[in-house]
Order: sequence, then C-alpha cells, then structure tokens
Amino acid sequence: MKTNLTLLLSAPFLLAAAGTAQAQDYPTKNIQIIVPYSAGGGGDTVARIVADRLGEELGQQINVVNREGAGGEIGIDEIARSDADGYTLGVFGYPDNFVLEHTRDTSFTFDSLDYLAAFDDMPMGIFASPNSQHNTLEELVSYGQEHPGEMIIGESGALGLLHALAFAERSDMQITPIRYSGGGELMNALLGNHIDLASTSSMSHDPIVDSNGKPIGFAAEERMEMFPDVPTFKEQGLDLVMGVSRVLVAPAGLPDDVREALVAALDKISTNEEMITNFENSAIPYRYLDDSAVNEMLEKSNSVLMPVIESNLDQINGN
Amino acid sequence: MMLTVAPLPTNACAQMLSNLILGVIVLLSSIFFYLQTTDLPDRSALFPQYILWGLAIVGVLLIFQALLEGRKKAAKEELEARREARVQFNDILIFQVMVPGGLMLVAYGLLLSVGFYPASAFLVFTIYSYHAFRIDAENLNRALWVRAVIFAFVITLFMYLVFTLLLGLPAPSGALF
Amino acid sequence: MDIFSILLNLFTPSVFLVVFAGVLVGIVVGAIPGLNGAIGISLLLPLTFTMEPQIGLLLLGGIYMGGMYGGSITAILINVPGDVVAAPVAMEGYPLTQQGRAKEALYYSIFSSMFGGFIGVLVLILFTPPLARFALQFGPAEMFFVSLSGLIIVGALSGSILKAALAVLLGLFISTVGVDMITGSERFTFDSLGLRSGISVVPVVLGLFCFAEMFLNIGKKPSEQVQYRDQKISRMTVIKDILSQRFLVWKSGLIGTVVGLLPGVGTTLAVFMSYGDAKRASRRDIPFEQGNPDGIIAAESANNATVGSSMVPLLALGVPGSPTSAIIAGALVIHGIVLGPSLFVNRPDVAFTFLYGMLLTVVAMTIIGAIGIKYFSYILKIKMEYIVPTVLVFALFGAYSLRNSLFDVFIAIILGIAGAIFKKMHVPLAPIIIGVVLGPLIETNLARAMRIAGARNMPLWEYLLATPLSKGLVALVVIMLLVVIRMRHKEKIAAKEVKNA
Repeated sequence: MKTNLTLLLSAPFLLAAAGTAQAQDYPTKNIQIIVPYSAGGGGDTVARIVADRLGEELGQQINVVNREGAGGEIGIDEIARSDADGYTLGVFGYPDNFVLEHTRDTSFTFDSLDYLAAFDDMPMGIFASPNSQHNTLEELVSYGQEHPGEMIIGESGALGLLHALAFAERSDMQITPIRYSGGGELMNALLGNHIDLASTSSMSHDPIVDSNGKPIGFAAEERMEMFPDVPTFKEQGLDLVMGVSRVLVAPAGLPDDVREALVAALDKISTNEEMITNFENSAIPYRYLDDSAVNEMLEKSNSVLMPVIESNLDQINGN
Repeated sequence: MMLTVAPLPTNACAQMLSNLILGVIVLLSSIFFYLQTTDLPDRSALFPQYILWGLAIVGVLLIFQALLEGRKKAAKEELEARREARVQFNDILIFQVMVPGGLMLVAYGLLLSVGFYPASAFLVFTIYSYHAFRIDAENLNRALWVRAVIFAFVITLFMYLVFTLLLGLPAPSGALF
Repeated sequence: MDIFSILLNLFTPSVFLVVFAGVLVGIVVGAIPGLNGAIGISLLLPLTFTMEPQIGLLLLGGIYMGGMYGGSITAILINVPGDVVAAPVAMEGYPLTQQGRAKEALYYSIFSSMFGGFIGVLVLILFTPPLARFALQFGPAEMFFVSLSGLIIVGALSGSILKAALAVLLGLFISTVGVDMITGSERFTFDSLGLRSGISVVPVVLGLFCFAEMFLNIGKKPSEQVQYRDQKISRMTVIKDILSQRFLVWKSGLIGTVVGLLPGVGTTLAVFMSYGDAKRASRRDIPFEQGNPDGIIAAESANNATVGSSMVPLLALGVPGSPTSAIIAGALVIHGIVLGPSLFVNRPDVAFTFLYGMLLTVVAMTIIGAIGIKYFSYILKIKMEYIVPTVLVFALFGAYSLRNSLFDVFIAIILGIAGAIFKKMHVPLAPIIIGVVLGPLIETNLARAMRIAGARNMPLWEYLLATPLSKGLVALVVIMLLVVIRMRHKEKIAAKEVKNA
C-alpha cells in the first residue's frame, strides 16, 4: 500500500521530467500568449484571433493570458522576463513598449524582445464631440489657436497621450489633455459632450460616428480603405503619422529551430482567409509583416517617434 | 454574528485595550505614509494626503476614546476580566491568525519556487493537520497523516484536472510544474 | 425578420442547451472564491468564434447572469462570498444559516435574483435608447457625486462609526497605491513592480472575506459547526414573502438597473446602495446583519439587475459599461457585428435574439438554482476540516487567476491576516471594499473636473453644479446623509432602551 502511494504521488513528477527530456520538436506542449491589457480590447482581440489560427497550425493549444496593469508595463515586462523557449509569446500594440521605455524607468528595453510578426496597421485619429461646432481640422485649429488651453482632449493609453500632444504641437495649439483609463470610458465622455476632442485609434470610428461624433482626421499616410470619407492629417496640411501595430513577440534569445518553426507557421497563417475576415470584421485593418519586414518597420518608426517623445517628455511626466 | 472557537471578548475593557493599540498603529502608519507623499507631484499627492489626514484623525479619536474609557475606575473583577480577555485575544492572534497566515506565506513561497500544485498539496496537508491539532493535539497520529496525504492529493489532482486540463487556465508555474 | 419569428427561433434545442450550459458554468465559477463571471466569459470566449453570433452571445450572457447569482451560495452557506457583489448577502445570509435557515436564505437569494434579473433584462429590451442617452449625461461632476453617495452608505452599516470610518479610509488608501492614473507618478510602490499595477478589488475581497473567515474557522469542532437541517419551507412561501415586502424587490431592482448603467461604477455600488436602502426601509423586526431576509432580497435583486442594464450602453452606443460587457463586445466584433445604434437596423436577428434570449438566461438560472438548492446545502454536511483547506487552495488559485498575477496572491494573503485581526477588533470589513471600489472614481473624476474647470476658466464648484443632473445628485447626497444620521440616532436610542431594560 505504502509503495503504491509513493508511486502514485511521484507520478506527476515523473511525467513532468519525461516532458522536458524529449522537448525536441517544438512545440510539444501548450503555448501561452501574454497580452498586457485586459480582455476585450483591440490588442486582446488580435491575440485571440491569431492564437486560434496559430494553435491549429502548430498543433498545440495556445492560451491567451491577460496581464494588465500600469499601462501595459507589467505584461510587457513579464514577456521580456520569460524563458526564451517559444512557450511564452506576447501580443501587444507597438509602440506601447517603446513609449513606456522612454518615459518610465522600465526594466525592459526595445531589444529585450524578438519581434516575429505584425498583423495590423491602425492609425490614431482625432474625433470631435457631437455638439462640437468644428467639423474640419481647419476650423478646429483656428479656434484652438484663438483660445489657448481651453479645448479639452481626452486620451487613454501611452500612445493616446503622445498622439494628442504631437497633434497640439504640430498644429501650434495649446490644448488640455485629460486622461481616461480605457477606450470605452473615453468614448463615453466624448459622446456625452464632457470633452471636446478624443485622441483614439481608428477602431473607435464606427461607434463614435454612429452617435454623431465627428471624425476630424486620421494620422495615416493615406486614406484608409475602411473609412474612405475620413481625410488624413497629411492632406489637410498637418504632418502627423502615428499608429498602433499589433506585434507578436517572443523574449529575445529564442533557439534557432524554435524561431524558424514559429516564423514559418506565422507566414503560413498570414494568408488564411478566415483569419483575415476575422480581422476585417473586428474593424482592424489587416497588414501582415513577416519577421524581417516588421523589424525594418519598427526601426523606422522608432526613429520617427523618438524626437516626438523627447520634445514632449515634460508634458508626459508632469501632465 | 461570528462563530469562533473562543467566545468573543465583548467586555468594554478588552475593547479599550485593542482600540488603544489600533489607534496608535493607525496614527503612526498614517504619519509614515504621509511622509512618502511629500516627493510626489501636487496633483498626485492631494488625494492620498486627504485620506491620510482622515486616518490620522481617526487614530487620534480612537486613542482618546480608549483613554476616556480607561479612566473610569475599573472594579476588581473587571481587571480580572480584562486580563482574561487579553490572554484570549493573544491566543486567537497566535493560533488563529499568525500560524495559518504563516502557513499561507510558506505556501506562497512554494508557489514561487516549485509551482502551484505542489504548493497546494502542501497547504491542504498542513491546514488539514493543523485543524485536527487545534481540536485536540492527541489527534495527530498515523491515521491522520495518511488521511491528510490522501486528501491533499485528491484536491490537488481535482484542481489540476479541472483548471489545467479541462479549462486550460494558467496556474502559477515553478520549477516542477 | 419580424420579432415573432425571432422569438420562434429562440425555442430551439441549441439555444436552450447553450443558455443552460452558460448559466451553469456561471454559477460554478461565481461560487468558487476569486473566480467570477468575467473569468468564465474570457475562458469560453474562443468557443464562441465558431458559433453563430447570437448563440455565442447567449452563452456568454448566461455565464454573466449565472455568475452574479453563484457568489451568493458560498456566501450564505460558509460566509465566503465568491465574488465582491455577494459580500452583503453574506452579511445577512450566513446568520440565517447559523439559525438553521440555510435553505430559506438560499430561496430568498435565488428568487430575488430572478426578479432582479427580469427587471434588468426587461429594461434592456424596452428602454435601451433613452437609457443610453441618460447614461451619457454622467460626466466627471455627476460621477463624483454618485461616488460620494456610495461612501455615505458606509454610515448606514452597523457598528462603531469611528471604526467604519477607519475601514472606509483604509479602503480609499489602498486604492491609491500604484501608478497614478492621472499623472503616471508612482505612489506607495516602494520600487515594487507588483505594487505598481495597484491593488485590485478581488484579492482584497478574497483576503478579507475568504482567508480571514477560514483562518478563524480552523480548529472548529464538528459540534460547533452549523448543522445541516432540512428545513420545511416551500418555494411559494418565500416568493410570496418577497413580494409582500412593499416595493422592496422592485426598488432594489431599479437601483441595480440605474447604477448598473453608469460606466465604470460597477455592480458593487449598486449592491451596497440597495442594501443600505433596504436597511432604512425594512419593516421586519429583525436587526440587520443578524439575518434579515430583506438584505438578501435587496442585494441579490440589485446585482442581477445590473446584468441587463450594463449591456445598455454596449448595445446602444458600442461603449461597454463593465469589464464583463467589454469582453462580450470583443466576442461580437469578431463576428463583424458593429455595436451601436446601427445594430438594431443591420442585424436585428442578433440584437433581438440576444435581448429576448437574456430572459431565458434568467429562467435557466431560476430553474437550476431552485432545483440545486437542496444539493448546494449539502455543503453544510461537510466537516470543517475538509472545507477550510479546500476553500483556501481554491481561493489561492482564484487570487492568481484574475490578473494572472502572483503578486495578487501575496496581497490576498496579507489582507487575510489583517482581516482576521480586524474581525477580532470589530473593525467592519465591508467599508474597506467600498473604499477600494470608490477611491479611483472619486479621485479621477474630481481631478478631471478640476482640469476641465481650469481649462474653461470657471471655479470648480460652478463646474460641479453646472447641470440640473448634478444639482439633483447633490440633493441626493444631502438627503442620504440626513437619512443615515437619523438611522444612527434611532439605533442609539434603541440601544439605550435595551440597556435600561
């Protein structure tokens, strides 16, 4: 009886040991994707769509784990600290990590992560409240310049604030930013006319416009396919391009064979029509970048963002 | 309303003493935390400072209340009751709070080092045995250990099956799991 | 597609199956300390990707509805509220259990949940557009006053007012720990990454209510335990009694509905508000916190009423009003369903199936609850020596699961130790929770109000009182304050009379 019990008790340990011994062909067990935001938002949606497909492709279950807190810092930190064995991955909206790194005392840097793919390209935008008298950028800017500091812009997230500040700086206005804890709260404040403007991503376009909010412009290179009626800032004479791109990352230092397996699987699912439909349905503009393209894009984007962060650092910290 | 092993120390004297200690702790910690706020930007410091002022005032009032109660001449039997209540309170503090709390912290340490499931088995085993020990120290015999081991194993296995295998919930993992 | 054929669509086996399965999952996760409806929903979210949208939605809606109810079972039977919203139920339900009336308490809870659930969903069906517009009226000023009124509720709970003040201030203080939302500066974090993300309400509840309660139960002999008794009480008696309390269940359901509409305020405030009001209005001769069924009726009908109303802003504007409805929104967008006013025009099939299907979730909850109660109360037959370790490890897991954070587990343990000491010192625990929930609301809304007033060059008080709604809310705050003072006064007189007699 006693020996049986000992055997029984040690069985799970033996199994676990056997599991690590034959970790030859990645992946042999469940994979987890850490999302540094709470469930339900854009980043979480991307992670879940991708996890679904990628899991099927790799033949293992992929669990999405939400590790929200401190504007994404907690979760990104955890991704960077995880073992680089391919069983912990992360999905978040770039440039959250970059902005956090340069505005706070974070323990991760840009190079703590290995960027494997990007799935979307979602520009930031400015929306005006339903009661606002301003329908275009021009009207808005001329009012803002005449009434410095009076216009109130709501924002949420690291990028939301940066975008609001860059928008004010480039259009020579003084506006008052007000922080909201999430996109939903921000939309509520805008639609209830408690604030004048909102700095948020193009994903909020439909609900805002449905309730008579006004899109002023998107910080995109060119007009979006999804919303052809909304002008870009560029065409209205304002040089501002800024957006979120959801990236799939691993902690830096993946073994070569694991990295190859992941990259190949990602490339393969990138053309899956069902997945692309899921993205489009969720109002997330799909744009796949493979591992080399994503690194090129990020480097370019970092060099554009850095000066914006530096010139607004006081405002970001002291705001 | 509470059900505990020992009857509650309901007399005013025991209350007075614990209120005095509570008041002092509240006052001191609010001062400590208030000092932490002085480096913060004004807008961040404002709200916590108001709260800490409030806490400090509550602390002072608790001390006053306790001292006023204490000044009333205590009869002899009340002194006796006070001592008894104090002993009872200490008893609860050590055996019902510190020991189980300590076991939880050890389990937390195990959680960090070896993972959730070994920690859970440890916790079930120790709490189960401790419960039996608190009822009667004589209870700690071989049969109890065996029951504790089996119970710990069954609960841990059940949680593993439901949470990890069935639901795929992530459990805190350590070196072993 | 007309409404009639949509309703016919509801009566298919797959809908029934999904609704019952969802509610059952909800009740189970709700009853396990630390797990709640939101976790259940995010677990089953991937499953809904492959379902028809309305079916998937009903699955999630069922979990939401069941989860709101499930927490009350463990609250009543072993004084461990499975979720924040069940804390007031524990305050009334557990004393009833101690009096051998567990079954009756469970009946009160399920049938009040049923009435509350129906009220919330009916409001959702009938008044979504106007209520959504109403909810939008709540800006920083209005939210500030609503949160203040929540703080006043603390005064209505019994016990020493000084210790209640201590508890609520402690809760408010706990809520300030972490990165300050408004300025991004770190408060009381002592360079710990864990403290940076702040202390969320679930580990606090687990520590104070679950760990502390279990600690104090260690060493309880089987003879000291509450004995299981099969009470002879019929369901109809309880239902009749609920309805015979003038307006109580309707009023509580409406409080739940209205407060549930407000984004970010959450269910906690609604539950405590209606509990406090029930205490004021109760005509029973039983003191509160000693097993007055009115407290259960009020709290349970309010929390299930919030299920329907928190979906109002989601369906009407596409703005999620609670964390749970945010996840449900995530499930919808994957199916390409745009939330907001256009939903009822573009996809009436989804919208109406969901709306009316939510009524089914209430029915399913009632059936499962009313039949299951007999079996739930078997928990009382289990010896404490098995209950204590089991609840502790489940709660340990629950504390982790909310944010997948080990730090939350640590916080829960520390607060468990503190909570057990507080209990012995007669410091009430519920106000701590109210403080933790309301702290961020009061602070951020006041900060926003100050900033907006500054930008518009007006004094703060002028901005705070700018709208008729905010003036009305100020009046509400004042009235509540007076009522609480009067209640306190009456209690004092009653206590004196008892002493003299």
